[in-house]
Amino acid sequence: MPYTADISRNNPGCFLFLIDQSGSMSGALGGQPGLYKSDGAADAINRVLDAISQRCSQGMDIRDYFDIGVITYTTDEGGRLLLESALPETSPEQPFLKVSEVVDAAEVEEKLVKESDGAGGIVEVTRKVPTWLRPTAMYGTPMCEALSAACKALQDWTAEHPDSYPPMVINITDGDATDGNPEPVAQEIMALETNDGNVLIYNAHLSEMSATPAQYPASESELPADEYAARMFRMSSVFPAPVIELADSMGLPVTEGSRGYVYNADMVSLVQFLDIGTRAASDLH
Amino acid sequence: MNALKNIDGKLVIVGLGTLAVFGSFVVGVVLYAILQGLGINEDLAWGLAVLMWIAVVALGVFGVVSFYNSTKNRVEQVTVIREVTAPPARPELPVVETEPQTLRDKATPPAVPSSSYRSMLLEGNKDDDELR
Repeated sequence: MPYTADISRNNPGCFLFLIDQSGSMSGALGGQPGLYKSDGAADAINRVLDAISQRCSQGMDIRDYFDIGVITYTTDEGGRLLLESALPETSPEQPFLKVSEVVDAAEVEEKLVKESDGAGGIVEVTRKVPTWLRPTAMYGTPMCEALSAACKALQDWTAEHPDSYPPMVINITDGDATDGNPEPVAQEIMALETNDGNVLIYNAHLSEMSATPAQYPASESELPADEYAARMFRMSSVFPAPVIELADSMGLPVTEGSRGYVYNADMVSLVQFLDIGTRAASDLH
Repeated sequence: MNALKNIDGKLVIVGLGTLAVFGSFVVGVVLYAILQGLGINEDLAWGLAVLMWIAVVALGVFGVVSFYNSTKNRVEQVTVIREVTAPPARPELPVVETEPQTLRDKATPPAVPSSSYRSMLLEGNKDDDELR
C-alpha cells in the first residue's frame, strides 16, 4: 500500500515549500484587514518549520527525519526571474537541508502574540519565535520556473532516496502565473515517485478575487468561478488514504478524492493546511 | 550658641512663667500705687490691683501653655510630613547603554544568534524529561 513507508534517519521524508513573493501577495489574506498574504505565508511557513523541528527533537538530540527546502519566486522590475532558496548555503537546484541544519539556520525573534489568559480573555505576550522566512511581495509570478526548479531538485532527491516516503511539495501562491501555464510542470512533478508512491503537490491558492473559500475539494464543481482555480485544482494531488484519515480525525471537510488544495484560505485554514500536509508523514522511527 | 542649644526647653518655659507671675505682681503693686495716688478708694484700688494681677497671671499662663502646645504640634507635623514625603530608597539599577531606535530597527526585530533556537528546543525537551 502506498504512502505507508516509515520515516527514519536512513529513509528520511522530504518537504519542499514554494513561496510566491509576487506583488499581488501584498493583498489582504482571507479578507482580514491588516494581515497581508505575504505576511500570512511567511508566518505559516515559520510555524510549520518550527513544528517539524519540534517533532524531530528528542531528548538532547535533533534527528534528521526530513530534508527540507524553501524556494521563493518572484521577478524584478524588468521581469527578470528571481528564484531563491531561503535556507543558507542552498540553491534552487539543491534546496535541501537536514532538519538539524534547518534548526541551526533559524533566527530567533521576539514577537507579540495573542494568547488566552485562562479566564476567557486574550492577552498580548512577548514570545521568542524562530524565523526562517520574512515576507516580501513584488512584481511577477514565475510559477513555471519555480516548479521546474522544484522538479529538477526532486528528481535528484527521489533517485537518492528510492525507499523513502514520497516528497511533498507545498506551494503557496496567488495562482496567477505570469510565465505561462504551470500545469504541465506540475504533472511532471506528480509523475516522480519513490517505491512508496508519487510525489505529492499541495496548493494554497490565495486568490485576488473575493470568492467564497473552498477547502479540499474533490471535484471542479466545488470550485468558485475563478479562471485559475480549476487549473490549481488539477495541479494538486489527491490526498492518499492515510492523509484522508488524519484530516477526518481533525474534523476537516474531506471526502474520498479530496485534493490538497485550499482556495482563499484565511490564516487558520492555511496553518491547518500546512499541518495536514506535514503531519501525514509523521510516523517517525 | 551651643550652650543655649543644650538648655532644656521646658525649663525655659517654667522660668518665663514664673517671671510672668512675679512680673504681673509688680505690675499690680504699681497699679495699686497709681490708683492710690489718684485718690481712689483704698479698697477699690486694692481690688482692682488684685484683679489685674490675676488677669495678667491667667493670660500669662494661658499664653505660655498655648505657645508650648503650638511649638510641640509644629515639631510633630514636620516629622510626619518628612516621613510621608521622603522618597523610598531605590535599588541601584544596572546601567544599560542603548542606541537610538531607528525605523529600520522597528521594522526588523533584533535577531538572537541562531544557536538560540537549538538551545530553546533542547531546553524544552529537558524540561519535559524532568516532568516525566
